[in-house]
Amino acid sequence: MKKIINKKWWMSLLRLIQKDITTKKKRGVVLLLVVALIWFYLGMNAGLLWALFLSFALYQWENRIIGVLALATLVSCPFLLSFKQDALAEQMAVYAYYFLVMTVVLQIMELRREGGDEGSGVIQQTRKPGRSKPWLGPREG
Amino acid sequence: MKEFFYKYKYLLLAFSISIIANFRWLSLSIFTSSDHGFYFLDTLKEFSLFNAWSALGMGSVNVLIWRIIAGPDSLMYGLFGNLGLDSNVSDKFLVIWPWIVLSGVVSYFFVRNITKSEIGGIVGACVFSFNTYFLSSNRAGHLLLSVAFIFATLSFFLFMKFLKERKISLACLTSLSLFITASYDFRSLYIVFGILFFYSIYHLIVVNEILEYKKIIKDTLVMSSPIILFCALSIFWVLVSLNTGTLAENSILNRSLFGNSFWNIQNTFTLFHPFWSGSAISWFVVHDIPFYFWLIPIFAYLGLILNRKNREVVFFGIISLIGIFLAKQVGEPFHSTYPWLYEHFPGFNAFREASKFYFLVIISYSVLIASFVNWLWENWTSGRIKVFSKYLITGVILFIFLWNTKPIITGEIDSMFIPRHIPQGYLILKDFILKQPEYFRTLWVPRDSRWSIYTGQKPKISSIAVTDSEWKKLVENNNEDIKLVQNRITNVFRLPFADKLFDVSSIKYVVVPLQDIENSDDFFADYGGDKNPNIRQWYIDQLDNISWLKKIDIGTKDLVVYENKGYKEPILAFTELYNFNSLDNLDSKYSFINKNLGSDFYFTGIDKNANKSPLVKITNPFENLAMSGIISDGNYLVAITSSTEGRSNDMLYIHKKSLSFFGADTGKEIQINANNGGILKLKSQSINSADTQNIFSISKVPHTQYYLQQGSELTAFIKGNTIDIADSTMDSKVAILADSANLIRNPSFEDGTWQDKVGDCNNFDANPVLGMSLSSDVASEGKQALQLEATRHNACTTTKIAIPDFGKYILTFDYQSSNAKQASFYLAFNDKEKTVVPDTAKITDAEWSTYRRFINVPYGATSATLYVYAEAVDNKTNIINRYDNFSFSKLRAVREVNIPKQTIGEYSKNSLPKSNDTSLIFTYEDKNFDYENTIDNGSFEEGTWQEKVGDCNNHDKNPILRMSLNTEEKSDGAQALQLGATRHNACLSKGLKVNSGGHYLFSFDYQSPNADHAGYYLGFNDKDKTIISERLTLKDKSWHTFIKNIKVPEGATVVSLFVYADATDGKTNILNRYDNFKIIEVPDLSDAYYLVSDPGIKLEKPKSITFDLINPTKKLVHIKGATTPFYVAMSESYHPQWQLQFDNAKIHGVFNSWTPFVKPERVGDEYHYKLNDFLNAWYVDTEAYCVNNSLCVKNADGSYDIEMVIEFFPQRWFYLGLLISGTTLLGCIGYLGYDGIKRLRRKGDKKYEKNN
Repeated sequence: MKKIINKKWWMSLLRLIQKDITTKKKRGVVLLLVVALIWFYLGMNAGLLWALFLSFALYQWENRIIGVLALATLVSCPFLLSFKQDALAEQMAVYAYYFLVMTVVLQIMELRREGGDEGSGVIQQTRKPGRSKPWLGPREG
Repeated sequence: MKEFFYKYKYLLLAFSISIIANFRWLSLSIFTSSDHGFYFLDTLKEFSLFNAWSALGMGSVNVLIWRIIAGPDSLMYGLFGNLGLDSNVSDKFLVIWPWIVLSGVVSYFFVRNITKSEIGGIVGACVFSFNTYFLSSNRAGHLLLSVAFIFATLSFFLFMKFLKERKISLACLTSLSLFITASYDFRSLYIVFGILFFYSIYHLIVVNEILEYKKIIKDTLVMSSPIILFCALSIFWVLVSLNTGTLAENSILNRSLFGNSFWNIQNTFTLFHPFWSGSAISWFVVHDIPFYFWLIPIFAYLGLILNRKNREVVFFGIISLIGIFLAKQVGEPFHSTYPWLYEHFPGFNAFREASKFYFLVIISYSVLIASFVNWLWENWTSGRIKVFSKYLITGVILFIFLWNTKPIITGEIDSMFIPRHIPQGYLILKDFILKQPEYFRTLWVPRDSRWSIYTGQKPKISSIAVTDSEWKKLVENNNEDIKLVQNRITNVFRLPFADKLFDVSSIKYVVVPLQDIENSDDFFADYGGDKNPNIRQWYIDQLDNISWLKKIDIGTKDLVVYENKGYKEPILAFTELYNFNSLDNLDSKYSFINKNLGSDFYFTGIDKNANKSPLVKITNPFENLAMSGIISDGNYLVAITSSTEGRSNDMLYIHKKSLSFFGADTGKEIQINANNGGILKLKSQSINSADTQNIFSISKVPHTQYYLQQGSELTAFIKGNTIDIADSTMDSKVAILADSANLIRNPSFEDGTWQDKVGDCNNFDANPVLGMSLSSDVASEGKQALQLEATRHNACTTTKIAIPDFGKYILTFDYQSSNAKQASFYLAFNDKEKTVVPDTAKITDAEWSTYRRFINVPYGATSATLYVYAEAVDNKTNIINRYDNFSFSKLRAVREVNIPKQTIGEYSKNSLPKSNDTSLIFTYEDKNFDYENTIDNGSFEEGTWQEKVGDCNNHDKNPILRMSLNTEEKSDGAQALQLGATRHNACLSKGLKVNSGGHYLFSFDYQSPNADHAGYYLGFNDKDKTIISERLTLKDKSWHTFIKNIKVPEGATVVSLFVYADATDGKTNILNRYDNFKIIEVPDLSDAYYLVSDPGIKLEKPKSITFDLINPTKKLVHIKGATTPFYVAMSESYHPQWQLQFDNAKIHGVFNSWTPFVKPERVGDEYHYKLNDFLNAWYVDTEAYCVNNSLCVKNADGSYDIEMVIEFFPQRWFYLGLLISGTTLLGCIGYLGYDGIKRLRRKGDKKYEKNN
């Protein structure tokens, strides 16, 4: 929680994202092409959601960010319902669902990349040593 | 002991919570509700002989043959029955107590195994056991499903262990657990198979990270071993289901998708059952999700995020998302996926509503939430706030789920949780039924009670069930008002052949059950009781009027019992079997056979062997008249029937009642005439002739209008036109009446309007927009007509009428409008009671119509005031009503004419001209019919019938409806109508004039690219507002033609035709296309002609026929003294695999008596008939079997004795399957025993080594 309200942390995060985008240009081109196609055929919503998913997949950013996004949209649902915004609550639940699907797929990709633990339930045990950037996945050299 | 309690404290806690929550179920009382019934031990006993054929009801293939452990018709319940225990005891041991004990224990071990945490285990157990889905499901009596899901969880748990440890014993245990799962509820097996499939793939790719195909194949084979064992265990029912075809199609799989509006993503996310109220549950009433339920998905997905490195937790994340996606049914996102899977994915059609997929959410949330709690307990170990928060969050989670048990503990949830008591009347009836040794059925009206006794020897039938299944076709065509369920149930008793139907169905008693309010079992509410609180008495009153049922006293007043004295044994012999070309008009056919052929009413419908001996073929040539049979150019009908090979004694029976009466105005005379209909010709050769006789005639007095009165109906004589006299008027009188002087001054407005200013007859504010004028261009009489206009308020005008005397008068006027829906008037008399006569006339087109009505002028009235109106509708449209040619005059009787009684049901017998042709071409000419299509623009070539699409389900203000003409998809002409509905139902209507009592052929073509049905509605304006409407199922995208014979109700003159496109999910644009509408008046020939084609073989019943009912699939038949061929009937539902075999060595012996590989000597399938469209009958040809093949024993008098067996052949596949399944089961148990002993020995050895 402390990190989220820390300005420096946000700045470093943005710098890392910027660095990823500027250094891995091929991935960026692929991402843009795919997203443009999806946007064209399936609309803006689908385009943006796929852009989010593919950028996390291609740049191997931390999937927990999308997980938190999913939780945030889920949390909004009961409040929207209490304000009689039923349609919006339904839409937020759908977004939560999309974000959770993304989270799980990214988690599987991460498990395939990094390996994981079978049922200990203790994630610290399996965390690889030397990861200094908690909000970012393993980096390519 | 202390050590034990400490070691298993969490397990014991889970167990204790379950016991406390379900403490009401610990007694041996009867707990029963909706789908969870009660069974007497006499019923249960027979379940131990489980078979491929179920003798319940009218008999059917046992589609639940896999249910051997639990359920009303299972082997294990049968064993309890044989121990002398009713189902309240077997229920406890096999269903209720397993739920109490295993729900907590299995889920505890399952979750603990994944999270490796005791606290995780207890939290998971609470999530699993006390969620609203299982509690709602249990409340509704779906306990079998709940217990099945426990075993599904256990199966998954064992499978996970098997994949890790790869032990044969675990494979055996997994397969046995899967087998038990299936035996409780097959749908849970389907879901757990899905989980195992996904887990296997996940295990291969993500957990083991195997990418080599050889290793994948090897691992797949290993993984499949429990499934292979399960298949071997299940082969006993698989063989039967494959053999009877019920695996792919049965009553459970054929149901349509249901409950789309109940499920959505919010409910599935929060694991909240939409019907859960936190108190007594009202089924199908959707409740808001309580705020705190949103914590459930948040905790669950926090568990997923925090344990993202745990492969198994991630797997349950996947399962939860699959579960949410499926359990929301047609909710967003991807709303059309579930319907697609339902239609196309094998086995998915067992889930007609998505609630079963809640299990996926439950099992995954159990793990995910437990993982979250486990994370808290492992990570928040220091710091006061963290430790406190850890306890608080765990407490909140437990509270959310445990709070759900409150209505169960307090008992406010009612239903399954309240002990029930059997009403005394049912116990008396049970003894009364069971003490009778013979076989018979009882029919329960409107349906059977949970306390109704039945056995294989005394099956019970639910009236509504049999009416909607076996008897459906027999009743449907005779039903006057099938919209009301109570009519559908009781109409069957009023069929002319109802007693024959009950006799051949072996129904001895008809019982009206109690309105069992004390036991919350008042099902009468569903069968008419919602509108009639005395509905039970209504049913009793209906049955009291049935002459062939005798009310009897069995010693209780609780139940009303009727006896059908004429009921027949379940196996009998008979001699005449009639074959009909259609099952329509069975009343007429019964009457024809009964009065003219004089034999019992045994028949078959459309049969591939209809033209073969020995059936007596009865054909009504014009019964199924197609549109192609109407030759409107030549004004005649054509019907082609196939001649029967080798028969020269075909007879045509012509109904003698075919005289029809009509009134006519020739200009000079008023006449009542009779004619005998049209001319029937066979290949241009007349068989009968048309003839008109004059019954009565009278000269007309000039300037007098004459009327024909039939009952309360009044019809004006119009020069050149005829008035049909209804059949119902036969043997009674019609009256000819004439009017006198018109009492209305200025009736045709030739002298101006009645008043100077238009009146405001709805002056609710000061802003009327009204008008009145004389219309000179549109008038029905003279030069001008009255025109009233109303945009706001109602325009009206009035005139006074002087009344000379009280008595019978007639009011007539002409009315017209191009935009009003109705014309209305109000007539007020000045008598003491201030009598008023208001009425409206519907306007269906822009043509002038004439209104006529008898008015009884009250005594004391000396004047009347007549008002006519134009009524505003939307404050925008200028509604214009025109009126003309008013007349109010006293009627005088001219003459009463007696219409002679017709001989109904008598036919003249006519030989047909000799011919070698194989088809008989009949033509029917009747000059009274022109066969013109009543519908203008029936093919939409001149556009749609209305400018705007109608909204026929305007439940809110947001319809999304479309109407257009499609020039690409059409069946006739250049274009077809296309209706589109996304929200609400699109409809298009047209009003049509019809003749009262007339017969019409109605047809249209329909097609859709995405709808599952098309629909039409015909609403008549008769007194009863008769409706004919249907939903026509669509299974493909091609054009279909609908055709139906319609009889216009007496008194109806206008019919409103509607066609529809019905929205489904609020998102898809459902398109329905219609084209080529026709409504053509045709003569009523439904019972006019019968062509009887008799094979000419004289049949006689054998001297005696007796039988032994061995089991539901096998009956021995002993026939004595057969001298000619005969038919054998068996009172079980028809199934092609019932066989009538000769009881000889071919079906005897160690193997031949049970293996399916024998070829018994039997009556061929070509002589196996669907008797009365629902039972079995065989033709036993003594010549072929006894004389030529010596399969019978010849007596000294030349007659034959025959020993036969009626067998349901798939039972033999069941025996074979049972052998394989039984061997596999013994093998599994044997191996587990061997492995267990080995382990014990090893453990003992280790202990020994340790001690030494």
